[in-house]
Amino acid sequence: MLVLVLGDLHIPHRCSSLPAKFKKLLVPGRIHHILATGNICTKESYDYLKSLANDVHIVRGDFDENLTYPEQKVVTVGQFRIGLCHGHQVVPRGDPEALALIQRQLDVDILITGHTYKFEAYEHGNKFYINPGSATGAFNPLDTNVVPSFVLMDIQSTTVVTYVYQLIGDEVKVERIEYKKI
Amino acid sequence: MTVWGIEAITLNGSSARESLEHLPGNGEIRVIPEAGAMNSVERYRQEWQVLLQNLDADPESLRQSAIAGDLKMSKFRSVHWALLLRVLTSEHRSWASQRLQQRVRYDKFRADYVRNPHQLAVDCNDDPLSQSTQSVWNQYFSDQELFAVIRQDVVRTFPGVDFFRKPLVQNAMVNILFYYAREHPYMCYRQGMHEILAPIIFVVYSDHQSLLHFSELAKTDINSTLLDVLDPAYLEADTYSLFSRLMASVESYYRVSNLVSTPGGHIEQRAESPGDNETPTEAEVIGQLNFIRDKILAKQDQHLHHYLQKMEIPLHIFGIRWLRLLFGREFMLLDLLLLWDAIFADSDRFDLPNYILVAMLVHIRDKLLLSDYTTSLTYLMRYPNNVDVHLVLRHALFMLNPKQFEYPPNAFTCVSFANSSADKEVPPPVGQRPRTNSENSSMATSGSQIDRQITFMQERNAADSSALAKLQDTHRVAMDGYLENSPELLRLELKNAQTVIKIARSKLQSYLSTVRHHVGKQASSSEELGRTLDGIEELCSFLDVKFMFPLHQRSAPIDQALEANEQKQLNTISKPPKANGFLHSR
Repeated sequence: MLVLVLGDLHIPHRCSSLPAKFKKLLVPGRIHHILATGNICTKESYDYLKSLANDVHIVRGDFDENLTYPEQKVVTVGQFRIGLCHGHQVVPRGDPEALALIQRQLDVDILITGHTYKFEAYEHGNKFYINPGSATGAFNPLDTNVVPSFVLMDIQSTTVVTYVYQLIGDEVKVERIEYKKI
Repeated sequence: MTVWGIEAITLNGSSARESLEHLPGNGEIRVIPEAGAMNSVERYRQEWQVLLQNLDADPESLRQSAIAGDLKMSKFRSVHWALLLRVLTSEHRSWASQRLQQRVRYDKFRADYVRNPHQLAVDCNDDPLSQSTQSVWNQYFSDQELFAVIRQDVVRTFPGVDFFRKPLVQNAMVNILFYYAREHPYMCYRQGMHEILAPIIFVVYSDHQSLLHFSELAKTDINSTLLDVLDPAYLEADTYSLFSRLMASVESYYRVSNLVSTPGGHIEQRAESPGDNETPTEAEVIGQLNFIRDKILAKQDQHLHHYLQKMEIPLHIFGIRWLRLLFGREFMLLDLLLLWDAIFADSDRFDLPNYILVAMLVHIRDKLLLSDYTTSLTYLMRYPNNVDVHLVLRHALFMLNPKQFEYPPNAFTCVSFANSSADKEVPPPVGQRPRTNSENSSMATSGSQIDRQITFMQERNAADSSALAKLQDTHRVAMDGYLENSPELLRLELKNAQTVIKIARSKLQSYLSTVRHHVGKQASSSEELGRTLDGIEELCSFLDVKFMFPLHQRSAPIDQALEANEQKQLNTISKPPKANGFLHSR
């Protein structure tokens, strides 16, 4: 089961579109679910995601036009409970302990957040935390040099293999991280 | 119609299968009471022994018997086919090792071609979104696509036939087609292959089932080679080897010349590309059809050849399908198997299908020559189902090799047909006879027969003209849409029906006379009697069609639509007066 995780697109406010190299990789028919951490902003971006996979889950970021998206969401894929939250509610932003709080609230195995514009994936207290970064490399007030990145999770029963796609220079670099549920 | 035939067979097949599980005895045994059970096992064993002995003595005799249609009742048809297609050699002592080799090869496909990157520890350079041709993931996804395309076709194979609805069979078919596509990337999977595969898997499966059945009856006492050669565990592998060998022979029907094959991956695009550039691509099969038209059809039946050209009906409109499916849609399954026996037995070059195609055309020449463009096309696209396959086959064989297949005059229907083209003295009773050489040959026939011939021709012509008139009439009906119940038309229909009955009666009489003639001469010729009965059966179906006639006429959809419209208009018109009346009352 392939799950695409991305967010903080900020199209069209901060970026015109996804990087061409990413668009080339994202072809319909391969991805089963999409989890978006918010700041998709417009309906057009949502429609684009819909064209990649039928099952799209979105939580609300601080710049989303659509106010009906929920603040938090829990999705079950295979044997994993996956929590989804944009992260602008978390203070200080991206803090592991603050995120662990949300993880406990939602009672999830994997917690996915955004808002820091920086890719991260780590295990903390036997739970897995993923931050896909910004798929467009949109700037933020604290950092103008953002590396575009998104995450693809391959979920097989009790194992998640996480593939991280980063556009460094003009090359797409792929990293692989494995997490096993205990 | 095809489906009916198959249904009938699968019914037999399934009853045999059920009887395996519940009570021992298939159709054959049920007729003979319990004591005869051993008898059938012995017969089964004997058939196998005869097969082996024939192989030792004269391998060529197998071809003869296949062409003669002797495999009809054979329990080892799949073995025969394997021999004819050279999947197995005639050296039957090494069959076990040959089978083993093929099965090992097939098992290797699974390891080679079905790689699941989810479970596989892939190297670091590979990722699920990779577009590279070396990527396991990329291969995996294009395989999924290919599987989907194949499955889509496979689940629709012979709709309504239970045998092909079984998940076991469907999965086996999908696997076989998939491995074939991966093993032959230049061919890939093309629509139609599943219909080539279907009869093969059917035959192999039935042979397996009958082996299971008999081995249960006989307990342990069955030849070990036989057990191995027809091991039901290797349904897929054995079917694959037959299928791939057959495809090697017919692959020219499927190949499109200027299509570039992409290695590995994107099969879907390839499968679509012939549609995109239809005009520049010259499929090889079209070349072959042109050859058939110019070299075979023109020689055998100038009239028909000329007619088709005048009508601008190119052979490939229907010929591609006929050839690609090896006539799978045109005949009932049992007949089809008979046809395939002969095709496989004929030669590796597969010349016979070309001649069968011409024979099929010649067989319906009367219908074609008398009808207009659309009706002709209907006949060609939906080939009439009451055609005698023996007749077509004999004619094709005769055209292929007139020297070898000149049959002795005591052979019945089919032969008289073949002989008539050779202008030999012929027993006249067969209705189809004058179709090949029409007038010329009818002049050449001997005196006593001429009378009957001529009356027959006259009657037929009457029928033809009335049919023609009727056709024209139907056109008129379609044009203005109101004449559907005109007495004129009904009278014509009636007239036509009467002529058909007349013809049927005269034909039936002629059949009966020959039956009597032959029975009187030699009581032992049961085969001929069987064929006579076939002819009578054919007639029955003919009569059936006739009774359908008025029904066809009535179901002209345009007329109904018009009437409905009219009524609607009437309704809308009838309303306003009411409203007026209302106003008036106010």
